[in-house]
Amino acid sequence: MKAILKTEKLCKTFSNDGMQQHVIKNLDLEIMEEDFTIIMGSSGSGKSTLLYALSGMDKPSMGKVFFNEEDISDYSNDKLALFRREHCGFVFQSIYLLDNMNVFDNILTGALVAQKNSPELIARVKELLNKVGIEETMWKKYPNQLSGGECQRVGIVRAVINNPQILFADEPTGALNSSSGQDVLDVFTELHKSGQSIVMVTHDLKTALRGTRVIYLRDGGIVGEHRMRDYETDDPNNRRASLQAFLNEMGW
Amino acid sequence: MKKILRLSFANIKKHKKESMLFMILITLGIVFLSASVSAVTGIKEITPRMVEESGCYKNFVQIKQDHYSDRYLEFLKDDPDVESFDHTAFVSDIIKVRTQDEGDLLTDISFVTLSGERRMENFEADPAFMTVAHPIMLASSNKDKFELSAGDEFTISWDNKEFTFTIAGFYETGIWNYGTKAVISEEDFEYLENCMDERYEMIGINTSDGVDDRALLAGFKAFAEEASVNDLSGSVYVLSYEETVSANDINMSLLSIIIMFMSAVIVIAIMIMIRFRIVSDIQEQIVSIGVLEAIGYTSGQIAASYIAEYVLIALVSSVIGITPAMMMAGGLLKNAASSVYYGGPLTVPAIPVFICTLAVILFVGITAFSRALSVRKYPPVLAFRKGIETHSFKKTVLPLEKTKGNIHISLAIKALFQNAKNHIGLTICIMACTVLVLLGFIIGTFFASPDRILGSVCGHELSDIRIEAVGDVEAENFAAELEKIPGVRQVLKAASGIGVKAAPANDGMNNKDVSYELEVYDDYSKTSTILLTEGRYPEHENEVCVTVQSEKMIGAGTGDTITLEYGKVKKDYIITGVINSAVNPNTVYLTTDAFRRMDPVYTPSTFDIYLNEGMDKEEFAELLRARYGKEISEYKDEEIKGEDLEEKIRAAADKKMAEAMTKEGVSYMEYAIRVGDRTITGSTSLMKIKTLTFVREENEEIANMLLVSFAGIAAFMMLVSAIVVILILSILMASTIRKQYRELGIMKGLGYTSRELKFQLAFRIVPVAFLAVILGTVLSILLMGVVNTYVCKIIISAFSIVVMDAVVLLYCFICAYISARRIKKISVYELISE
Repeated sequence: MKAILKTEKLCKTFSNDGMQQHVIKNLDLEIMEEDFTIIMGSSGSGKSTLLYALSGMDKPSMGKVFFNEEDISDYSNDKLALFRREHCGFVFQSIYLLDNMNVFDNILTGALVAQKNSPELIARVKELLNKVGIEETMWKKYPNQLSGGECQRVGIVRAVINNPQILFADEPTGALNSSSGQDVLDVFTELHKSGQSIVMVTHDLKTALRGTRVIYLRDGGIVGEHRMRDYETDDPNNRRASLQAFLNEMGW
Repeated sequence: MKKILRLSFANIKKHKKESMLFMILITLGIVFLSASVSAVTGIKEITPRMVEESGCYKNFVQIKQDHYSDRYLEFLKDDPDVESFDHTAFVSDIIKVRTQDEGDLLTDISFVTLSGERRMENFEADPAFMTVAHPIMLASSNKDKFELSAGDEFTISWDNKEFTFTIAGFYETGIWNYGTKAVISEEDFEYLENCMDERYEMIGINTSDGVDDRALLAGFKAFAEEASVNDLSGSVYVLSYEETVSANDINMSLLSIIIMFMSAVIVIAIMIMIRFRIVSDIQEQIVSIGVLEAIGYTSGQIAASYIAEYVLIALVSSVIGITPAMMMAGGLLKNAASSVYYGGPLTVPAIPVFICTLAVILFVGITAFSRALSVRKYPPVLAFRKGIETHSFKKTVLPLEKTKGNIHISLAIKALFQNAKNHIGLTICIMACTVLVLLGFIIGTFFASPDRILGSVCGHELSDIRIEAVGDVEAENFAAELEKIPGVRQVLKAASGIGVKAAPANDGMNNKDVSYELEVYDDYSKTSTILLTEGRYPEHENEVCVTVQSEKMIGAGTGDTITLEYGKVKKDYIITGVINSAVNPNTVYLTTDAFRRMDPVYTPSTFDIYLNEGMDKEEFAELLRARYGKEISEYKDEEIKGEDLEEKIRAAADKKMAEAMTKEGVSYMEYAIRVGDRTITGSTSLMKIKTLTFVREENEEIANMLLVSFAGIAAFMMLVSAIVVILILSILMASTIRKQYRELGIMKGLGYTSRELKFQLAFRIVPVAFLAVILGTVLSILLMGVVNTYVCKIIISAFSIVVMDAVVLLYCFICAYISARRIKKISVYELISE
């Protein structure tokens, strides 16, 4: 596997009332292609900050971020937007569907900025919606007519509609109930199985179990890394025990 | 109350830039509205004040002196409605005044004697009047016009003559001949009376309250016409006080009314923007509203905070705006007063300024109140749910599935339809601004040259030099002879001022009371300031053109047949076109052959001479004088002098002949005088020029002044519109970005660039602006239609209007695009980490 994302001495600093707060400190990291990378850590450890710096949502204060060997850390905001459009997909904790658009339009808003409208695109939207369990009767519905889980699944379809090289997810089940959360995670697992590279931030053990690699952050730096076997083939108990052990070691 | 104000201040502080833009918009509204209303109120006082301060008569009758008789006054003596009356003689002419920089300024001045002026108004002569040589007291409006002061020399020239007065002082005149008056000594008046052509008798009349002055003056005119042995048509002018006040008020208020219209546009913009912004604020702050309600604020208090926010802004605007409003009103009043030559003290009415300011504040409050009440619709729980009361089952507008082409345009149009209601206000604002821009553009372009102005305003031909030849001149030969003189571009034979009656054919001359003046030319295509606006010039002997107004007065237009009555002869003519003539509406145009149908012996005696570029008109006039003799009036007024007896005799004979030619209408004379064994002979063969005038130059001054005024008004209208458009679009965009902060942030996260989002936001207003521009264009065309029907036809090519519309549309788009630049500040990360 080759590295799709790489950071070199990545730093992210915020200014708070004149005080500099170093959230990410000299972080070196490689995200491998087709990996399902989970970023964990205690609150304030810099998980989300790292995710957004990796995904080009935010610029690093210092250091570099490479995407397929290309340095994206000096990109302008508009160039970063083009980068996200072409290479990345996002699933947010707050979902962020556009309230004034129905399910279909929400997905197409993400799709049509990167590609032209075509029967193939429409067919793919339908296929993906069916795949994540959003039935045709819901396609014309507005976000406020759907449950949180349904919305998040629509969010996932919107994130993958452009076949991104890497999919970022920031606690995608954080706002969902347990049942909806499992449904959403199943979708991620399915995507990973089909070869999708995923980077996900979570503080939930069940969610982390879906990944193949867990990175643990503390005070803006990586303090540990745990690699797991494939979710489908691995024994669930072993998998859970080994991850639990890793997290305990990390002081989670 | 404190709580409410705290909330309002917090909101103002939070949206400093938008509040600032609102403040500018409201200040502009207050300044324009207050100033224009105050000026219009003040203007109504100017004419009565002129009358009161000067003590002049209110109604006037002006009669050419050679048609005046004291017998006419019998009518006034016998009428019980007449309180008082008096009369005096005056002479008037277009003269050149030597300016301080030794240049010449053409102006129209009426000269009256000291006693004459005292008979017509309360006139106090300056003591210097009795001590200086050739004293003159000028209307004070001339002080600035000619940059003069008491003791200065005042040199006038006309018809090759020159006279120098000494300025004894300045004074405020009343409404008879306004500020064009000058009081001179009896001796100087006697001299001018002999050498100036226009001599009149002015009768001033005051009537009892409640008397119909117009009817009285009409009765006087009828009496005079009956008592006179002469035909008085064209020699008696009556002007009632009511007409004077009305004409003055309209004339003076024009600029103020334009500004009032602009203020109306701004006030509409304020209303629409406040409503739009409050909706945006409520939508943006809905969760905060819920929190405030949850902790005990009532919805009334929250609504009041929005009202207070705008009222506070309006109060600040009023504090800022009152002084400029008073200054602007003062400027408008001064401008208005100077247009009627009033130089007396002016008081800016402060009450209208305060009332208008209060009205704007009240209007802002009411507008905010009407919109802020919608807060009541959101109890805390509903507010927490961002106002979503029930599931929305609205139909999807323009589904993206059907998108073909540019996604940004599709999204812009989609958003436009989703917020269609909010855009009604914007449509009205842009429409009103389009009207202002188009009217400004039309005025600015149509009156872009002195020729256009002269043509549209006077409807007469204005050549470089106009010669009125004596009666026996052979027109064809004389014109050909003139044309051969080096430097002459062309010579047109003409006649003007011939009175006829006109009516639709077979109408029995019902409109006989109205007389029309004829303009007669061989070939109208060679004229330069007789501007055709419809149809074609008359070419054949049964064709005429009429003016925009005479078309209405006669009741016949292009293609219709009218009857003209000249003397006892009536002939029918077909109207082939319409000509602009704003100030000489009663004019009919026809060819020489066409006029000969009514007057077979007619021969042109007026010659319009057009010189080549760069030719000196004065030098050319001297050449003409050398070749064809001086003007008849010059011979007539000349002092008899000479080196020897023969010269004196010739001068005396010339004077006699000139008198006979002007007074008796003699066309040719010869004389032979025997002195001792010598016979001195002579004839009028070298007296070919009756009058010589620089027609174009005489009018060019006015045209240039109008050109500057029109350009100024046009630029002002366009500038105000541009400012209003940029202000409303800035506020609109700022509010939209705040309202859609979340959506825009999400879209940025999805990979939309700031530039694409700016385009989307700006493109949303394009269909609105397009509709507004179309409506504005239609409205402008309708307004121009009114002007075209009643004043003068203003023709602008459809193409230039379309181009201007495109410019307005592009300007709106650019303003919106620039105003949407705040999108750049939206950070996806901030949105996510909220």
